[in-house]
Amino acid sequence: MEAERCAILSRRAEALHLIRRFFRRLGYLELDTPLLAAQLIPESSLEVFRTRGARGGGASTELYLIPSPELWMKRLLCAGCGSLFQLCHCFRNHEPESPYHQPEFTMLEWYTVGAGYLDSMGIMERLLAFLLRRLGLGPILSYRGRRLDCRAPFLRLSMAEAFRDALGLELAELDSLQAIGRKARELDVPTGPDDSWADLFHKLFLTFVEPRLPSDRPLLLFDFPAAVRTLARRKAGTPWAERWELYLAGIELANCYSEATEPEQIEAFFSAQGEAKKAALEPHRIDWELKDKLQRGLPPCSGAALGVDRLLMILFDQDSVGKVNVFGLS
Amino acid sequence: MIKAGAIAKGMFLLIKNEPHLVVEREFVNPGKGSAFVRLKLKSLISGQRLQQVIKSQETVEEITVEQKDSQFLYADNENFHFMDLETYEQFTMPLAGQEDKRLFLKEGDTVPISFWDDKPIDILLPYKIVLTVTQAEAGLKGDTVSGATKPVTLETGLVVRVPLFIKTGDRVLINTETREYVERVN
Repeated sequence: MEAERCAILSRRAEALHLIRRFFRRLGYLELDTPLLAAQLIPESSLEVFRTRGARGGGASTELYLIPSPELWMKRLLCAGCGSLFQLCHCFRNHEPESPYHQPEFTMLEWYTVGAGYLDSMGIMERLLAFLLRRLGLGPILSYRGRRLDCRAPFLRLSMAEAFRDALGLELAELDSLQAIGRKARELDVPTGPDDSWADLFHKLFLTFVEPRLPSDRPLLLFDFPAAVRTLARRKAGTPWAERWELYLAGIELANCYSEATEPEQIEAFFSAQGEAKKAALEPHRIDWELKDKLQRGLPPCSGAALGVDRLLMILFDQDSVGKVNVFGLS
Repeated sequence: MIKAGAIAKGMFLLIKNEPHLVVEREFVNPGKGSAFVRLKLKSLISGQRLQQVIKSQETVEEITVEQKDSQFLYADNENFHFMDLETYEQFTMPLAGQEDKRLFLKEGDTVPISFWDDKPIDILLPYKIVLTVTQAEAGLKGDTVSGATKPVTLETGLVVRVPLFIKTGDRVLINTETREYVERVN
């Protein structure tokens, strides 16, 4: 058992080294930003860890373990540091027990200045190909006994196509709370009085669409509804946002945007999420200063975040993230 | 009521006015908006499987399902007849929806029955049971193909495929889910 644990740790160390090498060779600046922050980007679905810090008998202040390094990395993008990457630990509280979640986990986050979300798809493909080759795993993996053909190009499927394939319906036509609510009830999906459009979209997606996504190849699911409020740029003249998620073996692994630079969209995101955050189990202070910086000077760029433990779990054919992150709380 | 985020596998929930067993619970956080749990449920009335996605913060009615050891007396065309082994009271359960369980029950067997709201709702068959072969043709001489099987009839009327060496009067272990022969019991 101990020998197996050491072997996995050794392969993990090699993978982390290779990720760093990949981005450094492309000229990205590697960061190691703080894990403690005095304010955060509001994200209503994430609960955080809170603690208190005091210096030499002075008044104590509330501090938070970061749920992602985004707040620091975007500050540095605004400061003109160019393309950036970081491998760091992130923390998320109040999540139920699950093979794919841990309260502390390792995230890879990277931002490419001057790029859009479609460019990031190519970087994702190259990163995976590089890792597989250098780890000696080859392009065809077997995960839990099932073949996973990781050769580029990955399968690309728009959210609209995925809904068409799974449910035979046009997602773009469900363009009001009333329309999507009617469809959800028609499909016998439980709905609540405070369900937002995004809640109902996720209920339909998670019930009917996600379980049917192809899982024998890496899948880039792109063009999410803009009505799911994020900091992803709106795709001009469409109801979509420039966003993709990577699924590997049916497991969601990475999320990417063309980053929003429109001041109105950034304003709307911060105020809506800040409002929703008041109902959080672990309320936190909001980084309004970052909002101002983003509105004034975020350069056009694309950012992606990838769950490293999930990736290694699949590459090393393990059934839970705890098996590749052997010190994690279980 | 229970928050969806606290639901665990093996709990019983009242969904659409029917008691359901939680077969699987998966946590999904799309990271935007709300977190969700994806539940795989099985109705204890119809046996139908159901998948539901609800927000972690939504509440669902948790119910208590009790198990009582009961003795199977007989089945007629409409009902199973049981006796509660604690109170010695007799009760019935409709055959509809679970007729197949007749094929795994012998008169006098003790089986746990699930009760909800004082009503019997489910017969919990053991995973494997022993039944006696009542009718088997003799194995054909010279047939040595390994893995060859033949159908036999068991004491409850169930017909299963078994290896050729099984004879009338043998006792065999049967998997109640797959209805397949497992092994001969001495």
